[in-house]
Amino acid sequence: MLTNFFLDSAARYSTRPALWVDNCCITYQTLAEQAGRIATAISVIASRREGPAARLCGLLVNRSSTAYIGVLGALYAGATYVPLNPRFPTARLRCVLEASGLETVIVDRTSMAAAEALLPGYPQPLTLIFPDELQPPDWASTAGHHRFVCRRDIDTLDAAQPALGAGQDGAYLLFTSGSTGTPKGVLISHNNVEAYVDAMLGRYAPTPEDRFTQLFDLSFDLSVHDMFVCWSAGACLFCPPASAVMSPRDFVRKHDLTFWFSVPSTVATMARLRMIGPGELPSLRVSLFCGEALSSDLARKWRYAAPNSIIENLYGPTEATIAITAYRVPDDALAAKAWPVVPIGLPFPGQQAVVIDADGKPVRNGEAGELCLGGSQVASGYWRAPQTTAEQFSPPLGLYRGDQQWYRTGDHVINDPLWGLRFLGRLDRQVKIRGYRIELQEVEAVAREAAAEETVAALPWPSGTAEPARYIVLFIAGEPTPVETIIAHCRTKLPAALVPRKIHFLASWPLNANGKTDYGALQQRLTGNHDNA
Amino acid sequence: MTTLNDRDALDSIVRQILLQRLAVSGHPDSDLAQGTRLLELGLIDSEDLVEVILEVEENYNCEFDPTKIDLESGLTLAGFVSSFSVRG
Repeated sequence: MLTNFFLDSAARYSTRPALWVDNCCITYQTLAEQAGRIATAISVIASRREGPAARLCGLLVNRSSTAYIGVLGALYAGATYVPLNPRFPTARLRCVLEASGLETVIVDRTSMAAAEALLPGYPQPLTLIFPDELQPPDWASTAGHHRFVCRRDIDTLDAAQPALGAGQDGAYLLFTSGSTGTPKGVLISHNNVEAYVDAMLGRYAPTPEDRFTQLFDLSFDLSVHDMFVCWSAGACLFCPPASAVMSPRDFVRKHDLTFWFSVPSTVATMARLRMIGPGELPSLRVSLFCGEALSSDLARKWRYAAPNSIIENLYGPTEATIAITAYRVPDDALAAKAWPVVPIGLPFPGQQAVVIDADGKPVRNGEAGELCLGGSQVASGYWRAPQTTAEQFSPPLGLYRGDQQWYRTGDHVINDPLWGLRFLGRLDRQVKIRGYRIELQEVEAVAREAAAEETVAALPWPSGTAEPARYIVLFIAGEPTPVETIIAHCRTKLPAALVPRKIHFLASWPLNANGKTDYGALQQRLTGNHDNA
Repeated sequence: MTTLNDRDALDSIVRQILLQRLAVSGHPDSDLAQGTRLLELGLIDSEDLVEVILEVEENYNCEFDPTKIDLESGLTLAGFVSSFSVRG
């Protein structure tokens, strides 16, 4: 069980720091005790209910101490945790609540307003746990059929012993952008995450002296790496204040952090702010990047900034648990400018990566195709979506084995004999912005409502370069209407990374030979007029 | 490229560009005091700020100095504006 990684360290390093957050340091012992009490609260509540939803626990939290205590508490209780990002629009959060069937949600102090906005008119009875509040907020009295559990209730409870679960039980349930306009859930089991953490421990050998960054929101699965690789080693997790996440250079220097993990866009932002110079991050010994393509230019800048660190480019969809392949960037390849985008390398030991053609047959070495992933890290399917699961979680032709899961990524790759796997692009319209996975059809569905116009197209910008896409540009057919209104509507439905930043109105809409939107022509229009994009 | 002659003009331009960005995001400028912590508004993010910085640098012959801002304690409007200086 994933919990065992933490419990082993809590037993061995009880007085050592486990977590630095909100300007406070929390030891393994304190974290374990507080998680145990939250677990009791969850178990007492969950035991009154029946069905799979009773085994889920939502976390409406920012990166606060309550967030991490909540993750551990949910796992101690034998529940699957479901992150709910309080910065996401209420409509989006409700969508996740409904899709998951959540009945219990832990809320931290910084997310009370999001909780208040979530409840009115929500039909299913929820139990909200407020570990930071002595008593329910005033608005709770008008919240009808929902229940509230506060700190004064939790403090009277004994800390629970961690539940004995099974490896195939869900550890966390994450929702990603869905092409139909509805987020889709991916349930990751304890077995899936254990396989990942074992691979990381073998690969990087972290020690109790290490100090890890924690830059990802809990709704991003890369946060699971931060927490559990760190805690498995008895190391300390450092969570910078929200304002420092955009450029955490000073935070890393102040705390002498040794492990770095971010999306490449974080480095791109630091570079654009001129916040990474040669030798500025000497304490780092391991630097990992994941979530989007890592350009060689950014890797080179990082090499200069963190001269004592190895650099690895990790790759993996949520469905294959955080990351499943890695490539260690050698100095000489950067010097030789061997590639514009760093390769994604080879699968972790015991995992499989097969490149297949359009018919699902493995291609010959050196030929491009869709990347299909197999092994103990691959999830069993989408949450309550058997049809999509059957489509996406199917093995390459001729490689069916009843005991192995496979997932078709939609990523277009080539298996290069020299460098391993290299990412060439997507086979569909999914893009990544600051690591967020975005189905452009989802943006378009909301944009249609906002603009009251059927003909719309969302495109990433920039595109077709080694530089990561930074935002979405929206094209709308017809005469210009107020941009502010359209963006405001999008903000009510979409997380910030999905909200278009720029909008173009076109009197003449480009169509291809099949009479469909010619996305290539729209992309060319952006490229040709990028100053006005 | 427009060259700004004094500190007041620079402050005014930075504020104006920032407010334009906020207006697109649906934030009324009347709510924006000097002590407003920009990233905590929830309407702009790091990418917006970088865009504003580049727009000011590219069009007004001035330079953003990252050492003048303290991201950890929260970036205020006043702090953001004062982190620019006219190129000498």
